[in-house]
Amino acid sequence: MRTVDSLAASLALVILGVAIAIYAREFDLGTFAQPGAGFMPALAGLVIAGCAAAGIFEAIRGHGHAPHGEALWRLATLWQQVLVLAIVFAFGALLEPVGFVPCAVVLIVVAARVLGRESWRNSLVWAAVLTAASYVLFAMLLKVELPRGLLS
Amino acid sequence: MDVINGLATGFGVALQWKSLLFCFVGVLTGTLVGVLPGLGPVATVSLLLPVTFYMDPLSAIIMLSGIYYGAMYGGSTSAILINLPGEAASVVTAIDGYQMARQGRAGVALGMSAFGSFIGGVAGVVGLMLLAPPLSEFALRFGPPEYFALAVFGLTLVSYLSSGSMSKAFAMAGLGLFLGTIGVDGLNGTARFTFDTVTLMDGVNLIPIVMGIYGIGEVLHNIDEPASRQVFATRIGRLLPTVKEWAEAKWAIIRGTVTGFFLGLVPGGGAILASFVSYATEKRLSDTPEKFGTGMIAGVAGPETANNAATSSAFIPLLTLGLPANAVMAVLMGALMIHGVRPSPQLIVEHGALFWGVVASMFIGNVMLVILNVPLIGIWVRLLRVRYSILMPMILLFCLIGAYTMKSNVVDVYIMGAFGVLGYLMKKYRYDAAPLVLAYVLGPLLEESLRRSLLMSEGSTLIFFQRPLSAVVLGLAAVVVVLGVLPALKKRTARLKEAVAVAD
Repeated sequence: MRTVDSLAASLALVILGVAIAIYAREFDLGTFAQPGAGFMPALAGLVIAGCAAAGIFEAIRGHGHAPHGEALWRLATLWQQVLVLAIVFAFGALLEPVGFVPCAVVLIVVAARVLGRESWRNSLVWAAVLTAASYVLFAMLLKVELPRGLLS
Repeated sequence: MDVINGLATGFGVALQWKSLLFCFVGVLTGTLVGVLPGLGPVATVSLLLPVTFYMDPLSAIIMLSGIYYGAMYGGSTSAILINLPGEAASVVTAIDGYQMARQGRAGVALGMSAFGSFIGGVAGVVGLMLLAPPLSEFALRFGPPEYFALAVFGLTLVSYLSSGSMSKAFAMAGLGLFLGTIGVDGLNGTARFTFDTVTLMDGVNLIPIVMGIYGIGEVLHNIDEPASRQVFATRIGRLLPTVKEWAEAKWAIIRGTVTGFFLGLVPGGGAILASFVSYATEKRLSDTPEKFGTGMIAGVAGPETANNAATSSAFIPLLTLGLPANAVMAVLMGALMIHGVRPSPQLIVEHGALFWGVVASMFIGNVMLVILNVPLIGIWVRLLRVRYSILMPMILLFCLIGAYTMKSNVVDVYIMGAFGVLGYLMKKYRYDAAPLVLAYVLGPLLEESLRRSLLMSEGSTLIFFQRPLSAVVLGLAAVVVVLGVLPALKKRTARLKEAVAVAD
């Protein structure tokens, strides 16, 4: 399984590298003597693809690097990772329409209660403390514009 | 005499209450994140980067540097007390430090780390102060070919020295180079990989990349491998080492200072490598190498001195050449650029107060750190009991605020989320992030100097080999690549020979 996972990662990088190199041709590659805007990205794409291809050979021949990675998807914990990402993207989507304070409170409660298995009481207390502290630090001391959302 | 004048200017600005305050906030935060496993200096410096937008450049850089060298002090505390390094440069400290703690000598191990860190850190700053001005004067003569060669050399060395396989490291360097090209091309205004969006016109910013990989990625990874943190239930005991213990650690500290200082200068070297090399050296030179791993004080003093010497000297390439030697320096460079200070050989002349202010603040910060880490060690021991379930929401919140406030644009939050996934996958598959971050930062310099060099030479690539310095540096880069590829080739030929022998 590990080798398969690792091969998939290398293969994905090869595809990415080739895709970058092909797309870079849209921006004038130029020549070695006169590199254009597409030269560097094309080179970068080839480096990625070339090194990842070398990685595939290493993986198949298996010399030297026995543990190619950890078992990737642990179904038992995968939902937690999905939840973390959901928190990140939901925060981004809701920050401006809803405002900083409600977003921060919900974020901390969900993270502490569901992911951290803190008690409801603890989660709520920490949410209040951390939201207030970050509000004081950013909005009041550093005078950052945090979205007010519904409160405005 | 220039040094004396410089120091006078430096202390003049560093002793102002504002500088002192930010220096203190920096070293305090640094110690804190150093102590807490799961949050490293790169993540913290990038988490606090948005905070510095609203400061003057000197305060910003004083605080961010304080976090970096403060983390080196803090890292040993968790390494010694819970056998879990607070950050990567304290991995080897745990070997003998934890054994000392089990024997009831936790205090001495902590005290020795703090004093060793102080000696290494201060000696490193002295080296920085003496070496940086002449080096930057020398570097004033560098043209695009020299910068191209140095950037190539730096990236090669970072990939060579990074953990894991070299092909993976170079692939990550390639990815970093690519990310650096996104946005409007500086030389002729072509919009690259912007997919006709306005957001990508000025490129993908460093902050969401670094916070995604080191912040969100770390949170995602921690779900799979929750670090157990049990404070070793022991009395701390006596903190001050005895004369005999000083004698045992004396040479380790001296050698640690020297190796640490030089390894800090090397791109990709830095604090982690310095601590490993110091430990290996002490073990090899010891009369009783078999006792290492059972609580040798030299095994604690050497690496802790070395990693602090390396953190001080790592500032030299950034402040004299504008070339960051490690990921933290790359973020610091980003911070300076945001404030309109472009690290280059002219920095010391053009921003003298800034350079000398940072140097002076590092002396002050190291003194603060000894006070924080010796008499006040009890506070940090208690902090080790902070639960990750509280720490993790804090990390998330700070990442999100940081990514958003940078440009008040939620797209950066999404970009950070994407890099969080990338960072997690990289950790899983053992791809080192340092080459990516450095290549991202050095990419524009690399490209610009390449294209400018070729404009200078009217298209002749010989220019890189006709100028002695760039020729030598590029030659060194080639040697590094050969060194990296050679072992694999040797193995292959050996196997071939074997196969031939069997066939015969």
